[in-house]
Amino acid sequence: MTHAAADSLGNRLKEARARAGLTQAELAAAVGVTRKTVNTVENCVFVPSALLALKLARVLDTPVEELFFLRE
Amino acid sequence: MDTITRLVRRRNLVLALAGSAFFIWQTSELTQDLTVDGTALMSAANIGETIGAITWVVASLTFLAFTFQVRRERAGAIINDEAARHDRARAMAVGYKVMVVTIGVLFLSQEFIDMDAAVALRALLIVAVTAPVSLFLWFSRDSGDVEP
Repeated sequence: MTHAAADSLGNRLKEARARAGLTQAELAAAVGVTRKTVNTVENCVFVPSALLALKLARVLDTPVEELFFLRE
Repeated sequence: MDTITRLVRRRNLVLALAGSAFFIWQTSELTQDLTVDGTALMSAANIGETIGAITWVVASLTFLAFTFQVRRERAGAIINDEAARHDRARAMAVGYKVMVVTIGVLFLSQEFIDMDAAVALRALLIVAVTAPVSLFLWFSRDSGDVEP
């Protein structure tokens, strides 16, 4: 993952997580990663794999394309 | 603090301890190779070698205990998640570049000073072990900004 990739992918993870009433630690446990990973994805520092993106979308009950989007 | 966060912190602590101990141990041995007997620097190197070696053994045993704990908690896959694997790969890649630069510096140095091959190899060993460990700890540092 390059910095360019991290810069070009946006997400609405924080909002979706707040809607679901989950903490970062609870979401991390639900998808099988560390809290730090959820934190870095939320802050657009780390670009998740397609598998993790799909798991996050399933747990947050949100379409993956709504959760993640390409920045212009 | 949840179990996973505690395990991640413990892993980083053990890695930091092992990396520091290895650095002190091997740097002391390197100093012994380059210093004459009876000097204060040699005495300091002797003490550093003993402390570093003992601490490294303790850190290695602690790491072994840590791996058993991770297995018991069935947390291996979580603490080695994709972000951790990414940090590790990045640390190895940058560590490799640091090693190439070190080889270049050693290669240039031998033009000016008479260098024993064992000294150069030990210097490379120190960089090869401590650079990736330090870089991994830096890349995987937790900002600690827990958001509810």
